[in-house]
Amino acid sequence: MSQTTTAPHDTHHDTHYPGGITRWLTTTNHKEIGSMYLIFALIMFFVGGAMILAVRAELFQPGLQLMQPEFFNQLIGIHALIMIFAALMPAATGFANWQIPLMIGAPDMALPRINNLGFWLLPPAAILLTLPFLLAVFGIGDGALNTGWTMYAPLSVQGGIGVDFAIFSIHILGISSILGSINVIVTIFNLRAPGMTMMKLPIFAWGWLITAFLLIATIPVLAGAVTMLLTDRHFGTHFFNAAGGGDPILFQHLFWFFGHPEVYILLLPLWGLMPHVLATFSRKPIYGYKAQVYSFIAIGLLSVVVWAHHFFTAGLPVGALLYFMYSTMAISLPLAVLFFCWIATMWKGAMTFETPMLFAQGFIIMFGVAGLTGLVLADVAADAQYHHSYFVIAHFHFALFAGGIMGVMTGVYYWLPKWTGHMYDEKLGKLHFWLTVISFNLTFMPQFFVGLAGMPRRIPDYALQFTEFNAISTVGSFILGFSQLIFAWVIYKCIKGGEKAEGRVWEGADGLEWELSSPPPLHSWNTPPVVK
Amino acid sequence: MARPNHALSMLQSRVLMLAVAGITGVIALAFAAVGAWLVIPFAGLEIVALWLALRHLQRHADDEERLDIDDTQISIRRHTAGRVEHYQFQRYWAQLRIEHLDGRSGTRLFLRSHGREVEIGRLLTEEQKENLADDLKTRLGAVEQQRIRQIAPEEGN
Repeated sequence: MSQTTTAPHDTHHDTHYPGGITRWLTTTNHKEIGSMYLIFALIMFFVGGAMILAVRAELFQPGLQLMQPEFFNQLIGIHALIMIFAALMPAATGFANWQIPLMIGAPDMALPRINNLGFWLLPPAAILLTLPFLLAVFGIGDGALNTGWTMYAPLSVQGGIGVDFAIFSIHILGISSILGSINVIVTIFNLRAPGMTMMKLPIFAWGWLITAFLLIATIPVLAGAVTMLLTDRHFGTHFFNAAGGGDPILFQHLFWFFGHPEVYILLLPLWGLMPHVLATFSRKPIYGYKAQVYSFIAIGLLSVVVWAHHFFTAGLPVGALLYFMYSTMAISLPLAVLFFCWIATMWKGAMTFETPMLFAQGFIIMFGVAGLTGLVLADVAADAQYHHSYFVIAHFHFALFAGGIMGVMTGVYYWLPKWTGHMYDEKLGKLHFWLTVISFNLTFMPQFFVGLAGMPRRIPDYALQFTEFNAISTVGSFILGFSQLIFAWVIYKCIKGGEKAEGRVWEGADGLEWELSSPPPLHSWNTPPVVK
Repeated sequence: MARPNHALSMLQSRVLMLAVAGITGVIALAFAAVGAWLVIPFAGLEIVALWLALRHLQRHADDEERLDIDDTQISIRRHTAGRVEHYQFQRYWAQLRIEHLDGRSGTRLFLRSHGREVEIGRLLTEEQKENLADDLKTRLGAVEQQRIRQIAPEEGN
């Protein structure tokens, strides 16, 4: 017996399937990590929502009733950061984790341990972001980030410890996003089933791929910007200090170089989801697959060259104003292609309106409003009036609630039977949709008008003539907030039980994920399917 | 013989790496040119992270495990990240140990003899492991069942 051998390995390993918390801390399974992302997103959605309900309660009437302006400022900034980084992004990453391997025929994500790390960075980041609230209760510091989510210098250079907490939180969130992006990129490129060429890739995966590249392009800029903020605050540098030869406008450039693509980072996965849902419930193939993919790519490219439209009023040279105005308006072209493809997918289809389809319809119509009001804001001359008004607030909530959160809800209702193996309660789902869509419009439509009439954003008090519309908006926001409890209840009920779902949950659904049982086995696609 | 699925070629992997590094580098240098040089280290870190991820994949691209059984010997040849491991067992004494885990790892197969033990079939699916185990049971440590012929089991994909 002649052989070279190493010591026997792995003979004394743990044969138990870890239970309880250890299981969730150590899991590398894409389905479990996906579920954790989604549950985390749902919890943070309620945390961020509760904050903004307090804000809306304060805005119910003019004058200060409930809180001091300092606390008001903290709530609005943290609300935004939580909704963007801790609710919307994790929800989209949860979708990616659950669906991309199922859809491309991969056994898991390409880097499962990195995947685990990417998720577990999120809770500490969320705690860092909100901890200063608690510390302030105990008399430490002066509360959370109070500069609005944009953290513009020099205000943020002068702010309290909340700014530092936010900076570190953003660093951790950035690392998490980068790890997630790298994982998505290598998974899509490397683990596609044999025969699945890039142009046969499910369109949802395409949307996520562009998102991942955008994150990779922009996160270092954000990380650099907040680090410079940190050194300006504590180490005597003058990156953003005009007195020391720095430039506060530079921060705005850096921030929005990240911030504008961030909008598409949030939306592209959901734009990728829409064609699947529309095709399923229209019982037709996706119309214009290639046109949509090329539009995604065009939007991705354009999104990194239009950032300065967020600060037209900062005093940019005329040439820059013109360039950023036209390039911003150019985005409406590929976006229009997407809208036409979505409508054409439904055209003359045998449409039915289950909850996911209802949310998809709401998404298209209201996201259309966001797009059209965005064109108004892109106009340099008009923007001088709209800038920093409630018009902007209404615009981006049409984009990020109707386009973002309702897109996530579309996906949750669409895939929930696949994930849990149970059908959700269709009646409650429809109730949730109608309450959401009506109360959403009740909340944000009036804000367009108070914005046009001149009400500035980020103020706890306002002039008397805005009272009625603000009252309507507040009533709407409370209905909107509390109807989301139905959403949580539907999800809970669906996890606990219900009518058994088939593998192909929706009769019109097309794609690899529907070939698997519902719920799919813990390990799926161990043998890659062959795509013809 | 078992190999995992791998769709990205070395060349594609390099093109991807260069493209990302190029774009991120240009962005970082452009901002550095207007004073924001602290973008550079973060861009660098990110490029390193992507490079490590791709290198990890490429190193494991040629992973394979090959099991050869002849009259007297069983040899296992395993490539893991460019490392080659080679094990031999005497066929007569070799035992197959099957470990059933009730959790996420499923079944694990081990070959052992003379106090040594080696896990086999790590790249296989559950179903393939079952087939391999059934196959091995008829061929190990049971001389009376032994039929003399050259065998190269065709497991895997």
